[in-house]
Amino acid sequence: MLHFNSRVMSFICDALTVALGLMWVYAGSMKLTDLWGLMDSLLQYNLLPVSWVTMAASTLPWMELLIGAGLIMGVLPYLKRVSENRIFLLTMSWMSMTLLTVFFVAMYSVMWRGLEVTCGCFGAGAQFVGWVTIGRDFGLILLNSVLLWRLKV
Amino acid sequence: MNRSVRLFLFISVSLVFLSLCLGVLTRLQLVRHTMPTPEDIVQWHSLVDLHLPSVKSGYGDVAFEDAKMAFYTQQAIFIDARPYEAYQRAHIPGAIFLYSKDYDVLKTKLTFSKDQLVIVYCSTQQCQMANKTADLLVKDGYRRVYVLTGGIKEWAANQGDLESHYVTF
Repeated sequence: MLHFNSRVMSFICDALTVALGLMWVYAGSMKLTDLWGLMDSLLQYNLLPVSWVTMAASTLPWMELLIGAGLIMGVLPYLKRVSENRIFLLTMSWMSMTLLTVFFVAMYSVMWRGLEVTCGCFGAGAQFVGWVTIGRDFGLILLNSVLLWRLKV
Repeated sequence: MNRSVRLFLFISVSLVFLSLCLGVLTRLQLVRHTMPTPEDIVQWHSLVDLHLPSVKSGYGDVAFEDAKMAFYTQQAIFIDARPYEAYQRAHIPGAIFLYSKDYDVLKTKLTFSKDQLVIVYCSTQQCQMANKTADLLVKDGYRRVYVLTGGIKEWAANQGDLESHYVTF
């Protein structure tokens, strides 16, 4: 039976951290290449004051990119030896968890209000907010929870 | 407060601060749409007449250049299929707000002929709201319905005229 602290589990958790990091980098870069679409999506969510939308749309992709880069950097073998690395990775994971939770709440509120909104999750795609996007976000939250739990062990 | 917590807070605040700084820079770099010059308009008017592909059934697609010509020669009515907040923020001047989800309520505003050239748009190429509205218009008997390829994003990127109910952008 595999223990959670075993080398294999450690490797799996590192791979999942990199995957989550790559997901953030991809999401951030897609948003950054289509800021107009992102602004439009944020307006459709109707959660932020209109005057904040441009700033939010300009900041969010960078935050995602930095979190993604941080998660990937956190599992690099060289940086893993640094004593503060665990705190760094823990911070990045918490930031990632916070963003995912915010997105989950935003998408759920859209469903609850019965709005038809383009997700804007990975740039301005054709995908509308629905149970698929909410389920995907929930899956990522679960994955992130596993990584957080692992870091606390 | 122990060292770990301080480090945790320091990294979190740094990340948010760095994101905000990059966000401010990005916001400054955002392309501002400008009004076309009178020379542009004269040039568009001097171009050949609008030749859109005929629509046998359903609706067609119209490229940005043709849509711009239709706009400045006032041959088409533009319909904005996005939600009201997006419409308020920026829309093609004179465009009728007709959010696809509220089509049944909003269609009462459509008082033009069923043969009128209608161009529907939403935000981007991938956005499906324009297609939905165009589909509903065709079902209601409108015979010359087109969807603007690239949406208002391409319109703005090519310096198409825009109207906004907000001062800031």
